[in-house]
Amino acid sequence: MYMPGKPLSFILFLLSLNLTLSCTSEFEGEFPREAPMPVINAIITADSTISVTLSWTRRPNSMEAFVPITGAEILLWENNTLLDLPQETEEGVYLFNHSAKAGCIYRIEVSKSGMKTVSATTIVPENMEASVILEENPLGEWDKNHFKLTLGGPTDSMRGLWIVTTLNNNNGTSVEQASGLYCNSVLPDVFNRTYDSSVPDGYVYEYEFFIRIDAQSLNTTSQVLFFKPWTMSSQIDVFIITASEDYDKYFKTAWEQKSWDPEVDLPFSYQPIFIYSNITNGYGIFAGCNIQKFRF
Amino acid sequence: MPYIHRLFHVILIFFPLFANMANGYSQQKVNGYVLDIETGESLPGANIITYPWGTGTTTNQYGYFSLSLPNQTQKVTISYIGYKPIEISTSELPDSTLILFLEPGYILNDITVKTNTLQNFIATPNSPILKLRQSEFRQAGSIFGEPDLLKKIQTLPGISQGKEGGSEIYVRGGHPGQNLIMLDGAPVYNINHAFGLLSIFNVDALKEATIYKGGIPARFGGRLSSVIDVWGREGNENKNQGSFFFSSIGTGLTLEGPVVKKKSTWLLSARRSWPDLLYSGFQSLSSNGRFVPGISFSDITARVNFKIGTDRLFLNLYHGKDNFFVRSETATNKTNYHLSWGNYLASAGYTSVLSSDLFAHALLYFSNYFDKEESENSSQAYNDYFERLSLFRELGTKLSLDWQINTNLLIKTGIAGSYQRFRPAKTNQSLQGQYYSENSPYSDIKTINLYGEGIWSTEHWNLQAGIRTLGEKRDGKSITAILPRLSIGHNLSEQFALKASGMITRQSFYVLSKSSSGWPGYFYVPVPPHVDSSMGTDLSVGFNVSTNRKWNIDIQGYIRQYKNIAASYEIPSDAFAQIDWAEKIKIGDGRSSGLEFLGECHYPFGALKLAYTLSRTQAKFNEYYDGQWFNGDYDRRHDLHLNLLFSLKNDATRKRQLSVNFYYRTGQPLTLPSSEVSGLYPPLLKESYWYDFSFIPHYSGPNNTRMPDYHRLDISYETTKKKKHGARTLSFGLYNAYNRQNPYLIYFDNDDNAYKQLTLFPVMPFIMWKRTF
Repeated sequence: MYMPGKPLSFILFLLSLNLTLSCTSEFEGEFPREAPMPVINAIITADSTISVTLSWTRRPNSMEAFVPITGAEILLWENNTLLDLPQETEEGVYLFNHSAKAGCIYRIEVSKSGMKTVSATTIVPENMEASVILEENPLGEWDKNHFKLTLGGPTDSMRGLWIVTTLNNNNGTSVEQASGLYCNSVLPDVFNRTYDSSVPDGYVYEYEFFIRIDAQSLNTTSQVLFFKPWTMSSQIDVFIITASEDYDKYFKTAWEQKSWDPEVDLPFSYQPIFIYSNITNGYGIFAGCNIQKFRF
Repeated sequence: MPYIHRLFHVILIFFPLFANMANGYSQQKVNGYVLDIETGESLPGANIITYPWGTGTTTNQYGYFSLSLPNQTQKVTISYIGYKPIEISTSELPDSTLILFLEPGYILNDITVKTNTLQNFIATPNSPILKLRQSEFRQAGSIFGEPDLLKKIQTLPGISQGKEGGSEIYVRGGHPGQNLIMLDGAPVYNINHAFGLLSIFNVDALKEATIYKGGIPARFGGRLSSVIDVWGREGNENKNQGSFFFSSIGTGLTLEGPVVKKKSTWLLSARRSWPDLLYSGFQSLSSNGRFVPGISFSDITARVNFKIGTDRLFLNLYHGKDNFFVRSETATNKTNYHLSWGNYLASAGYTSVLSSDLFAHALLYFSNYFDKEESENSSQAYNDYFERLSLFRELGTKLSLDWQINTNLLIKTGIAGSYQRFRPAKTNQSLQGQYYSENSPYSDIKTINLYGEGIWSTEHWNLQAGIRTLGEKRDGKSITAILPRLSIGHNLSEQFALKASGMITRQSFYVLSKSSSGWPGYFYVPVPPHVDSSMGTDLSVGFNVSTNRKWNIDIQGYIRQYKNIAASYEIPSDAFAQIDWAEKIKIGDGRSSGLEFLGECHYPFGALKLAYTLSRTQAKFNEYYDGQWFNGDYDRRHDLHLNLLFSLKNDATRKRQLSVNFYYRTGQPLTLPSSEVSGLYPPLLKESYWYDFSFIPHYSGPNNTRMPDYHRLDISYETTKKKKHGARTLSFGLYNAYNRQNPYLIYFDNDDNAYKQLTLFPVMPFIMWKRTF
């Protein structure tokens, strides 16, 4: 639910005013019990080698490290063609000597004695047509420039578009990801958006770390948006990530789960958020994406 | 109103069978209204008893009755709890419609009542019905000193509360949106004020509430779970009067009086929260008007009634709204954030005595509910705004006839039509000159219902059988259904009664929660076209034991099933005002079974009431637990309420009473992580993120554990003193007297890396002052 932080703090203040003795304490109830389950984690990026991490789940609130699944047999198909077996480069990490291709469907099966076969399927989407230019912001007060992104229509296999920027050092190496982006466009998803009238340069909306645009929005409205990171530097990379449905749902739900701040969102919007998973007989994510980079 | 008379007579043409039946009897008939002598207001549920037979009837919600007297009836007695009964000899009964006035202030304790429909106990002996009168609204149903009808209803067996302090009503495991809640016969939607702390019903404007947990009569329909039929007061027809109250969270004023004495009345009642005014004013002053926040609730009820011979006409308006806003201003910008939800309700009713045994009523209503979020930002360059909302409207009409065919048989029949319009999502944005609008199309449900029910009663039997037919058009799809209803009661003796009931119900819209944490924010959507309407069945059996109103025990068992119900467990807030809401809900089934106990004991210096429910409620969705049954959202294995009332003084000028309430219930189901999964960071530089994505809590499914059990003790003291004009009431007490740390919410604290529980209602004093004049 879109709710800016200030009003929620205000509601909380009022509640505190009326219910002055309300308080928090350690949860006294019991956690549900569940046997350890296998977890697959793999993001398949076009033109990159494929790496798969296997581990077991752990008890909630546990401080122990996740136990890796070693010695597993992993079969990976690319458009129904079985790829060469991977190398286990470190415990639970399996590396394929193969680069993923855009537009291909990947299926993985993991087996180990005493464990049900764990499987998943995803697609690496074709890149969405996009161009980014740096141009002058007519409302610019602190910084005269912002980015103009022009998009084509969505590709069939994509579910969302994610925009990320990094600030680079003199060597062209990304050293920091902008923790916020300003954007006033109507295209983005509002789930990580906050409203702040003190934002400079004509903007009022802030997006934490990235801007997500749903593929559905791209069919119906203007394909142009302006944005700028919280801080500019002499060199900036803009990344446009074309996301498969699996990638898109996993990171959106993971973000929603992690970004609820009990001190801000309580008690109105806190909720257990189920993380998307496309793994059969296990948990985790096996998802494809495609990344374009623009350097300024 | 000759046209309305004609209309009613046209309806009669469609029921020739009943007309023939009516002509077949030749008993003496008596009909009339029972009214309060001081105010002229009708007394629904008053008993009219024949002597020496002991049979009779009760007045309907308009205070009207019709009765065919058995041969050799010597007299009739008219009685109502708290009023002096009157007796009329049969020979004195006129042929015309009677207007009977009862005098308040008398305790009925010497008349044995054996009516053919309902008795005046809170639990009726031969049906799963609970009845509450205005005098009971203030007992054991208040929060912060503010009496609330729905808080009172929550203390009854088979009915549970949702979040602590909330106004939600969960009847036999059903969702709050599956209750048909009516004000003066018209449905109202979303009954929450102040984020659920209060309901929209202002008890000063109410007269009576009837709760049907099962065996819902055929005249009601459109919901799966229950009916809560609330009727408002008409107002004093003899003199102007009013009342004013001030409690810890709100203040209210009720004014009433005659428009033309004995002919017409008016009543106006309004409430508003007050702590927000202090806070807003303080903030505004301290920021020099540059930062003005506000949070408030308000409602207003207006009603006028007209007597036209023996006919009655009423017009009713209700508006309730909750607001939350923040306005701020800088040198270059003005911003405004506003969150609001509310209801509008308008209804007009007309009743007519067509003949001594035929009573007709007609109703036209419009009901509207909205939930809206909006923000505006005005700068030198742009006027940006964002709004999203969800809307629901209903226009409906009802036409019904009550036909007292003879002493033992009452026929109720009628027709009802409604037109419901949904707009689940409407979003408008204008940002830096870009405009974007995303609206879900309107969805309409057109419904027409015909119903007929027969209430057959003898000294020992009560049979209420009915059929409701449903004709519905939803998104171009036509649906018809027949929904049978049955309720049987058998009085084995004057003290012991058996009862059983069954019903089939249907509902064609869902009420979706905006949060899975139990917070009472809702929006309304139609059942998607590819899904059949929700269906519910309820079977219940029980018995009732009582003696001369000294004590009463009511025990009922029930089994209930639900088909095609909806849930949005995963990210419920994501579905609100989203055009793809249908993709974010799951369709499944539910079931509930339970045993309900209600014991009441009245003694000279007070009363004791014990309500206990042992129940189990489960849900089943293919997406969770491999399609196996799991605990439903408001499964409460044990739910107990004990009320002790001590009457310390009760005379003509002063009344003092002490009330002690104890509550215990099994902790509500809760969703917590069952394991943790190693996670992935979003691209690109994971060290930049301030959230820890290296692990992800995993939930095995909804409601996979429970909160700790809930219990608390409330103590209140109330004193009422008669004044020259009206009376003054002062009540104060302690909520949660022994400061039990009942968890309101369980959440993960990132700082402590641990789950915490928030207690929102620890020990709290409260006070309420009321003055009638």
